[in-house]
Amino acid sequence: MLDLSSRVGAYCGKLLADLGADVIKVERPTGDRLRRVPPFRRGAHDDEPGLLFAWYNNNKRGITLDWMRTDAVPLLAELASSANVVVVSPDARERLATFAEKSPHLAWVPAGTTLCSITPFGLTGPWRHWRATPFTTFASSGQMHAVGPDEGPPWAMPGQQLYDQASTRAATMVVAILAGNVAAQTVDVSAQEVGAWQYHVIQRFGSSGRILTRATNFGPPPGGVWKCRDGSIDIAAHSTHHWDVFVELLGSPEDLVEPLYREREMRAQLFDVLTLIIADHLADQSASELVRRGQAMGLPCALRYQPEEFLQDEQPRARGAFVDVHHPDLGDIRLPGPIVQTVPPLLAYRRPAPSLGGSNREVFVDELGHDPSELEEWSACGLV
Amino acid sequence: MVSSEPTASESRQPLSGVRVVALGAFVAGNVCPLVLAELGADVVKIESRQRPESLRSYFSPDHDVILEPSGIQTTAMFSCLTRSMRSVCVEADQPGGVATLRSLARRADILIENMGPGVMERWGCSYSELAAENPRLVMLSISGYGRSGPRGDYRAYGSSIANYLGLASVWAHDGVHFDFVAAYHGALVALGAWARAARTGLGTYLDLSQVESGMAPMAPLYLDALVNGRPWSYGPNEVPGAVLSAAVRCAGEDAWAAVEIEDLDDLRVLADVLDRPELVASNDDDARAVAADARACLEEWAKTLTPMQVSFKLQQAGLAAAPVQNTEDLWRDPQLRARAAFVEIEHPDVGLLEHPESPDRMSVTPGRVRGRARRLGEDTVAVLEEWLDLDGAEIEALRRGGAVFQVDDAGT
Repeated sequence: MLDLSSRVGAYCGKLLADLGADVIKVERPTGDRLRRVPPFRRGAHDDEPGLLFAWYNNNKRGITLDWMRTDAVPLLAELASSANVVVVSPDARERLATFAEKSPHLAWVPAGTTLCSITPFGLTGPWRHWRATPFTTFASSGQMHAVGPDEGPPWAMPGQQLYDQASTRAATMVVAILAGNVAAQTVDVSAQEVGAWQYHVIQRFGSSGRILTRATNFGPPPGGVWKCRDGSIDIAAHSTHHWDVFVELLGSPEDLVEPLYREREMRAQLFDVLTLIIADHLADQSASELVRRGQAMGLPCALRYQPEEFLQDEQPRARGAFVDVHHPDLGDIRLPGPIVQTVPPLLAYRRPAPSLGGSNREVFVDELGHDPSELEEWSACGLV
Repeated sequence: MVSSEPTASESRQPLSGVRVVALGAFVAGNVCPLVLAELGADVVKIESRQRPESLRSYFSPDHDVILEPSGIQTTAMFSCLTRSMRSVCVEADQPGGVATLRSLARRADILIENMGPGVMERWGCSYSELAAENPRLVMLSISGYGRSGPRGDYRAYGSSIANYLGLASVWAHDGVHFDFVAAYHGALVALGAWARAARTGLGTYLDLSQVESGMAPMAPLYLDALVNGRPWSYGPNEVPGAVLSAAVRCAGEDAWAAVEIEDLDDLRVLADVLDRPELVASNDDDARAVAADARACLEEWAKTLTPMQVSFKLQQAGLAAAPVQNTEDLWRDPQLRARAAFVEIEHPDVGLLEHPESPDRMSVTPGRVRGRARRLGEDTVAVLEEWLDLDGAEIEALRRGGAVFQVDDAGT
């Protein structure tokens, strides 16, 4: 698989590489933009990639080739001739020089190779040329407007989670095409559309005419987040049974043992009063103890952590949910581990993210059979 | 408009002929098989009349209680999340119920479950028991925390995981994000294992947790802590490395546009657009100092423009900007409409609804809605005939004993 994607498609290649595909990340000689995005291990140096680059390009090999130049086309064609899949994400600033506007096919991609495009808005439609970032794409997906303080502004989900969702669906299509034995074809993933799909299967303006307002909580008490003496917990109470268990968990206090409260609608109407009563009961409890006992009784409750607190929790440690990696430029670093645990093994960590052009010799000389002197020439003229 | 049931005569899709048993509930347990169904798989959703899944009766502010003719409740959300699948009603606690489940698993390529801890084992449907009869079986178990470890038997919803992983603390309460994250990852790894089974005959058990699948898209928030011991320290709408990122108030009711100025070049362009030549910076330190002024100027400029005007003007200059779309904006969205991202589906109990069409766009074999959500037990007899080759008398015996249920033509 050739990976010419930018940030929006980076996770697709990582997933396929984790599943065992030989993914070659093709960077322009100036380096992928993610190399210069924080956080860094030591600081922003030219020879030190950002940690996001190290994460998203785990398990990929890396070569450089300036695909904006027309003299790159013969080499791209050579590389693509043995690829099952080429992943691209042409964007407004770094548009592929050879990207044919009229058809979503790159001329150098052979007919038998699947071309997978992953972009913020897709290859068709009036916004196909829009420049976007994870932040602005999320805003357009519908998922942001109803999140944040009442008075505004709305808050975007941090990270690039919508891009990764789009990349996951793209990787799924790639596996389906390759293993499903259907024709090689063009895949056109729009991150905005993936986000809108998620939003629409839950919330439909077309059937309700309802515009969601910003709310900090949903569902009546005891659903939501509560402060305890040593932290906070989240309770998800979706059924009458959950309410009963919750009351029992607190030792069936008199002010909560009220048959009327078992009705969801009644609890919604008495939101403020019940919130005060419950907050009072939970304030001097231990969060971790409450979660342990609540779960033992069948109440879906969870500890509420800061991101770095989660990393110290016993569960991911016990499950071995991290992987320790030695990266040639970064040294020893710890990254999130496999997304799934399987018997027998299905995913494996094999190699760290590539140094810039780290596999040039291996790919151009050893595998494509070019003379080392050619590689030197391309390097001298800035092509590789 | 889509109203018919899935038929065998459709053109070939990547997963045509792949058989999936879905013992899934709520969002993750339905979205995962839904993705496979819309890529062509024959997905059989196992339901129970005795214990209908809670999503069928989940509170909706948008409509009154909807009953199927058999008396089972349904909702608009349920009809959207279970479209494209077939509904088979099996009662595991009735004589012959578990045997029917195991027979279906014997004929399946993939089985997806997110039942409570210990349920599959209690039914004699653990992976080792099912694989003994079907060694090629790919079994995907989706759970909140994984099936091992000190929190391995915990119950969880998407909101629990958003709090546990730390997303809720640094962003906001969220109900379903990690359901979708787990569902999409589950569909991918199930197919990866199915591809291996097709090649080698070797089945796989997949223990997929919302926690571990959620750690991947959360990586940008974890990396600094994992490598440098530094916690995530960014405020709302702050983008690491960007000169400026903000949701700016525009003209109109609760109207906002999202703007990101990624680097110094962008800042120069913004200064031009705003006609504020004083907003210059020659290095990153300067840029941080100028950012506050730039933001104030941007907000002043945007407040007489609509979100779409702000987006168009900045896009024309080559900058990243987009309207912060609310539920109605998204329904009108010209981009989604131009890409035909909606499809009307008629359901006999829920009515005519506009659904999002599959976003899995492939030029030759596109993902697509295969049919409306089925009533509980609407396809029981058809699937028992097609998958298990049972004859009329055998099916009748199972129905009389209460192991399976099939609605009649009137839906009762």
